[in-house]
Amino acid sequence: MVKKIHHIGIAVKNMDETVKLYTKMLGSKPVSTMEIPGPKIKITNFQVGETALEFLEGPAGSSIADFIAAKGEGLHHIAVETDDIAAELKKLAAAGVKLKDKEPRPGPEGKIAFVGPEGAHGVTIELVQPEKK
Amino acid sequence: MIKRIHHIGIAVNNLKESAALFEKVLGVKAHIESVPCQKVTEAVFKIGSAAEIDLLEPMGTDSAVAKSLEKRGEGLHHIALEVDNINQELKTAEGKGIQLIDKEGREGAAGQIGFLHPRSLSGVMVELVQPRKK
Repeated sequence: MVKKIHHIGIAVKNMDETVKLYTKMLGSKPVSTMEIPGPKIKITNFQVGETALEFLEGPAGSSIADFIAAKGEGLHHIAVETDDIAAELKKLAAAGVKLKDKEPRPGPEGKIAFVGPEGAHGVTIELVQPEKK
Repeated sequence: MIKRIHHIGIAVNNLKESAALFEKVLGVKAHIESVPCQKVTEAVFKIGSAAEIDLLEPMGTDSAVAKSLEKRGEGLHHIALEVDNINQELKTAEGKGIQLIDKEGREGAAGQIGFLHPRSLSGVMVELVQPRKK
């Protein structure tokens, strides 16, 4: 079952500048920062109510840099939270939805899998099953 | 004050097709609504008490959504933040150096709305919404 919108992913060129802008605009400070070790993608999260804004910056050749080169900075994906990601993926596959990840894989905050943007009308949708804390 | 994310707007060419996909992914049915003042037909998905997902199909070719589809194709269009006083928040944003599209709140589907320019916000179109009192 989908419980809520977990976060909105936003691709940016200059994390420091973006963090300054959004700290001002939202009137709050980032709640977490991390770096995905392999592709060296930097992540900064702001919490707005139940949903986070996840800003992503990546080096040349990363998926984030490629996205910006093609479409410019801005909204990159939406992530919905589920309590059983494997069951959701199975259900979607059975319903004929084209999956990018057929199996869940480890993400920064739990198990994740992507749908689209191909076959999803241009929207990249991430499913997240957060790790129990 | 910014209270929460009110909705995420997604520009689509074919509301029916896109709504069918999102119904599968989100496991809820859409509520379809015409919004003549913004020249769109919307499919609104409510997920619990949290942020909504709004699919937007333009009516005609001269709306903001139609132009975005032409320029950038289908996909994520804007995020809307809920505020309790739209005119005050627009003024505050402008005071912080954020470029405004709307200087004052105007009537939208969910209440009084105003847009901030993506140029000032790392490419993200941000809508402020002061929902109508129910």
